[in-house]
Amino acid sequence: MKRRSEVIVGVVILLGAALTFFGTLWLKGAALGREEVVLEARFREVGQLMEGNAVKVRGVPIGRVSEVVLEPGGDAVLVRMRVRADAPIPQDAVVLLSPESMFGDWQAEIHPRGRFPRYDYLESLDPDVLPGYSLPDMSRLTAALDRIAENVAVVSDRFQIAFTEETAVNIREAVENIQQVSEQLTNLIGAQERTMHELSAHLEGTMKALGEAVQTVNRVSRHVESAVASGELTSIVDNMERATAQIDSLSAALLAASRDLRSTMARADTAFHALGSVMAGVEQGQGTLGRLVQDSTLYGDLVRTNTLLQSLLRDFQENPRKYINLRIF
Amino acid sequence: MHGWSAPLAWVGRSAMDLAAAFGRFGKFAAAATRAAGDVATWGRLVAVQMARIGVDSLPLALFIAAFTGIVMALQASYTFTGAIPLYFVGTLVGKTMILELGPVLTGLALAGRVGANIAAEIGTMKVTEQIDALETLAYNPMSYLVVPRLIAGIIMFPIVVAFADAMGIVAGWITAINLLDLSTPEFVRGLRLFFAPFDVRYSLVKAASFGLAVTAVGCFFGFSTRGGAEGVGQATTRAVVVGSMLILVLDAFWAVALL
Repeated sequence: MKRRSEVIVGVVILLGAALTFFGTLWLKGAALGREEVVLEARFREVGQLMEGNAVKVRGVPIGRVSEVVLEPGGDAVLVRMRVRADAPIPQDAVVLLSPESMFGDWQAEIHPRGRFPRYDYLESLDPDVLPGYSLPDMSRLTAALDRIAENVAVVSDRFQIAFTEETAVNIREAVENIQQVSEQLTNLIGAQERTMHELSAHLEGTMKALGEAVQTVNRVSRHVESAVASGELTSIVDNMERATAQIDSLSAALLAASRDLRSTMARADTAFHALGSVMAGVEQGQGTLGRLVQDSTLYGDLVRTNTLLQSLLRDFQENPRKYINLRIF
Repeated sequence: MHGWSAPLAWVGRSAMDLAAAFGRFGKFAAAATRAAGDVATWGRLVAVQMARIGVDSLPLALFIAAFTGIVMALQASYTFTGAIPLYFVGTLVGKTMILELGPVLTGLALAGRVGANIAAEIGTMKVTEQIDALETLAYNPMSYLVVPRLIAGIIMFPIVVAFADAMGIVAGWITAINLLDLSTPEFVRGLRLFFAPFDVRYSLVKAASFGLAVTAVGCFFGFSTRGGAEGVGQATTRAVVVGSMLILVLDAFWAVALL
């Protein structure tokens, strides 16, 4: 009984120990019975990379991160990776650390440098240590977002300060003005459109009239052609020539009359000149007429004479027998 | 005694009883430590106790772990709706079983089974004066009764917990591939995602401390048994209750100390 208990206990203990040991290795991802090599890479920082994270080439897992240690002095982090010995490591390889998913698990990917040349890989003097670069993790992205949010908050505060009640009223008025201007523009555009329609209609009528005129010209042209062809135009031209000749003779007569008129004008000018000298003499009081015009005494005598003459005539009319004594027998 | 002083007297008596219990436990622990040097006595008894404490407890521990793994997988898939990938079922089952549920549930189950068994056995021996007989026969009761059980508990609890952890993970894996829309590679990916060898060490250290606590409490209350069958029953009950409480206290202690 005791012996049996000892055997059973021994078996259970060995099984438990083996289960613990191999289970741990399996969960750790260790390669059992497979040849492995250790790669090292150097980073400025490693984000959330930890022992046991996957090492991949072109997305295919080839091993696990076996150790993450700070270099002496703390200027860099050295990551050791246990990978399959037959894993194809590219030439000029670099190691890129990145989140494997959004839930905190990271991975180390081995790439040729030319695939991501713009990253600032941390080089090592040891040629066996691969250069490495760590992509920003969620915490760093969150920190960046936090800074952005702070900036947005500052902008929002400033906007609130600038956006007073008066500003709101002004903006509202501006919007109303814009609406009014918009309505006016709409009306203007409508009026312009109507005008354009009318203009278009007129243009269309004009074009129609022009077409008719062209047709008329065509008809006239055809008539002219027919007239030319029938000789009517020749007679018209003859008539025109005769009329022109008559006009020429009329012009000659008019030219002659004009010359006569010129001599008549010369004589009239002479007469006017003589009249002018007479008038000048009158103005100077020369001659009878001049004295009559210039001498008021004479004028008075003449007026009195006229008066007396009128009295005489009146008396003669009233008493003709006083002056005429007609006797026939 | 006046009526108003009764509560104060109760508090004082309880405090003195507690201090006395600590004193007796300290004396008990010192005697057990001294007895550890008597390898000739306890060495031949350890295997039997390991079989009784460990091997005989395996079915119960595996049963509890299996159903815990199943429930963990189902509840994890129920919780991970939408944003969280389903392969995290493996992560949750593995981490939870190894770090917490495996050791604690196994410890609580064994506190009932092993602690009660030890307290009842030693208590019966105490009230039937068999321990006195051992002393008469020049056997050190500590070497003969306590040390083998303590060593068996320290060794076998981690073994049982290791099997329980494995059983819980296997049960969760079988549940995930049969009842959930999850493949074996996905489950294994989640299982390995945040695994660290420290998790296993943490689990085994906790289990060893639980084994020591459960067996020590069972032995202590067994040796403290007074009276007849009633005293044995009280000792058994106290062993289970105090053992379970100690497991939870130690669980918190190791979480603070090691995590």
